[in-house]
Amino acid sequence: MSLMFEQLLNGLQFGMMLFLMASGLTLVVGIMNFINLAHGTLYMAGAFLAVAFHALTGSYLLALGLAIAATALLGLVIELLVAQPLYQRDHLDQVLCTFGIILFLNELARVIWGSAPLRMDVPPWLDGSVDLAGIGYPVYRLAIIAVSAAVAIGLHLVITRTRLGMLIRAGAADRTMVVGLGVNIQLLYALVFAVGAGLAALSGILAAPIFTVQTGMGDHILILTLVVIVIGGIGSVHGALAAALLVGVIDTVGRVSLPTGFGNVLIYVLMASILFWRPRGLFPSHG
Amino acid sequence: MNHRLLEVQGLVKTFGGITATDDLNLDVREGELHAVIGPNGAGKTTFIAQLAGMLAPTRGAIRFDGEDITSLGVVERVRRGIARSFQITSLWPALTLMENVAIAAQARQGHAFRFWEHAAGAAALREPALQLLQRVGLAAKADLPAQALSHGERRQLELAVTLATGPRLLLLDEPMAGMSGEDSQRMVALLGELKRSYTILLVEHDMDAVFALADRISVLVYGHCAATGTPEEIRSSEEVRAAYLGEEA
Amino acid sequence: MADSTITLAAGAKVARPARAGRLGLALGLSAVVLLALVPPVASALGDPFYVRVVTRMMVFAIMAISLDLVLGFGGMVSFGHAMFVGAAAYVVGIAGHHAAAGSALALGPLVLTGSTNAWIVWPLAIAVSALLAFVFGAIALRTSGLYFIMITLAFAQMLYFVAVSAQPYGGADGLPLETAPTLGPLDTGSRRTLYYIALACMVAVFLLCRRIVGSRFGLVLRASRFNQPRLAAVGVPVYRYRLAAFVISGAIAGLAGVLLASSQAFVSPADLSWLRSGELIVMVVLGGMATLYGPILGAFFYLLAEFVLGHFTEHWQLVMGPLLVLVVLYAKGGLASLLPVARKGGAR
Repeated sequence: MSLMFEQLLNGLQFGMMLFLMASGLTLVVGIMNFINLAHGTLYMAGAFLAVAFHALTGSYLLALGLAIAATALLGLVIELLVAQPLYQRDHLDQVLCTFGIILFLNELARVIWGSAPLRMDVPPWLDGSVDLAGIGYPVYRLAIIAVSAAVAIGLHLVITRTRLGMLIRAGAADRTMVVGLGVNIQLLYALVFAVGAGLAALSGILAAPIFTVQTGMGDHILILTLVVIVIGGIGSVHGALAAALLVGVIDTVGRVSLPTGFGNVLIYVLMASILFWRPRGLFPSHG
Repeated sequence: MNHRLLEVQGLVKTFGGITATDDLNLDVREGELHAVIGPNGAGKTTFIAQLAGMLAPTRGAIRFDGEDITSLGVVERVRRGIARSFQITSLWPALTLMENVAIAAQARQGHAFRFWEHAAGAAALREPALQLLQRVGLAAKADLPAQALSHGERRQLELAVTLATGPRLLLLDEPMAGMSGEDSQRMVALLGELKRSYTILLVEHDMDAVFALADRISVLVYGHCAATGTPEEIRSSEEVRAAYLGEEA
Repeated sequence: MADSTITLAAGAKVARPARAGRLGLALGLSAVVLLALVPPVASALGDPFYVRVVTRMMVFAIMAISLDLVLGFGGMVSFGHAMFVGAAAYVVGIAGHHAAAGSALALGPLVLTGSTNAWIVWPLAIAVSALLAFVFGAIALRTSGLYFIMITLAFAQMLYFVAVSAQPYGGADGLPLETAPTLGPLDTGSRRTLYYIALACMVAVFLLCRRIVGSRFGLVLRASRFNQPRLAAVGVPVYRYRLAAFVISGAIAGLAGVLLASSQAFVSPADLSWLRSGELIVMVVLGGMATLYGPILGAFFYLLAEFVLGHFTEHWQLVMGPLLVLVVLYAKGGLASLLPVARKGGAR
């Protein structure tokens, strides 16, 4: 029982990390109609940059901040150079170009940091474990849940209470309408892309002490993220939250309780089933 | 000429809070050209979409040649002889005119699941396709890609593709959309000629064309058929004039 | 058919397979002859390794052609194509494994003993691929756009994880092929023999696909890439055509898979991965979509780059990534557009 509880918490934690990834991506796909396969490499970039900054500064928090900023900047560069010419092109072109970015960035990481996985330690002030309902649960993992929840609340407030949020929701539902509102579309797109990159970086940095930091670490996460946004409904951040938690829990619990092979496959079966009944996902934001 | 080929009874279509089709009753007699006119937003395209099978009505029935086709899909209706053309030109721009028409022609012939024979050279396809292109006046450009055509020519090709399915009933959704002058006149002449071989339901805004071609006219207002009659009856009707023709200036 | 000499809008190309102009035929024949000469030349030079390299290129070319059928001509962006290749390769591997171990595979009431007889194993492998393509395609083709990409990706991942978890068959480490299958008197383990089998298959697949694309079926397939609603509006039940194309494509990919197994003497989950599927898409696009010879060029180019650049640096993907981006942004016709063949072929 306590094992299951622990796994549920792990699933929750993993789900929150997926949410950070998915929220950014669902907006990019929903608002700009841009399939960004390179989103996983931004996750990886965040992790690597955090390791680098940590080695430089010795401070976890400083490394966190710098890495997020640097990755957001990287996101802006990608948006400017690759995404902008592709907004009007078809999905295949976008898939190919962002796939090219994956190849490039994965290899770049290998050039800079080598093939051997890097380690990033949990900061000492988040080390240790807490007694939760009879089991000792790592503080760090709780911190991940807390931070992600804070981000989720922050996003919710921005999306529902601010003008920017209104533009985002409008853009996700009907792109052309937003253009008609006389908004600076370039700026909006760049902002959404950069914020998405920052969120991906945060997810990667939070993940770094738990998983190893190595080239290609973003690939599997990318696929899970895509599954999440498809299940949740493209363009919907709330959908992304629901779907991320669902996927996170099912994937974690499934991999632990089912024989090997079946556990991994479970979320894909889940996705196929959901798409079968609700082809637009659980909370589609498009009309 | 009196046999009712198409019967629409109590057709209703609602989208959320909007009623696009509101208890529409209409019939089309075999051999006639029945025009449907009405102000913008009257639900003409929605009506055509339901007739063609692309949109499922909320309520009501559609009968074709006596058979209830309300629940049939698009492909089924084409097989029974109903074909529609599109208001916004819908073709395969990268394929040649010949190929555009051949696709419809081979679908009609019923054996397109053939993997071996070269389609472009097949006389069984090429001949009927050329004949149709001839009919709409595009035979000379048969081997050009459709995207090389002018807007007016594309509307003609749109018609040719629709004809290639060998229909009994043509649903034409503003075939003259975006045309002017010479192109329009050519299209009117073409439609006048097609009248002799096909039953046509024509949605159009061009009043000159409508009054020149139609045997009967139905006026659609807010998704409801407000009046049906001969061109003279419609032209002289006070209500129709007020509701529609008056707005047209 | 008259050659179209009308200048089209910039970049617009007609989606038709390249008719064999005289030049095209000459180029094609020369290419085949050149390829046929590789083994004797390689052994004269005392370096038979090249035979292996070019075999791999031809096998990948077959994969790329099969993908072009659905991707280039049908517009179906399948991110799971490698699974059809890998599945067939695994069938060969598993059959060989059981043959070597003298054990049998029990699938419910069905008990299969191993075999290294290609006449039995190869058709079985291809049939498995075709079946997978049918089942997965039937589901995936009900969706489109991003959802289609996702579903094909998901199915491929499922198969990948099954392969990784299949401990008796090597799991993540892969499965070596102890004995190469024999195709009658031909031993596919012999480098030279496999080379010529692969060459023959590549030429046959190319010709077959050209035939298919030019047929009535092909016409519908090509139209379905651009405008499906219109197809329905003229009475064509589009779904079954696309599914048929998907299955044919899967079967041909299966052929590539059995050749791959023999050529590598090994099969691993990497042969099923989505990254491999992505590489195949890259080959098709780099080479030139919807041309059929473009994918051949793309496969050769990609593997050549891997081979040549790999000699200088193991970081050759640093070049491939940006190159791909540049080609997609500015040279969409790919390598095929560089050829001076009298083409009406090649599509955007």
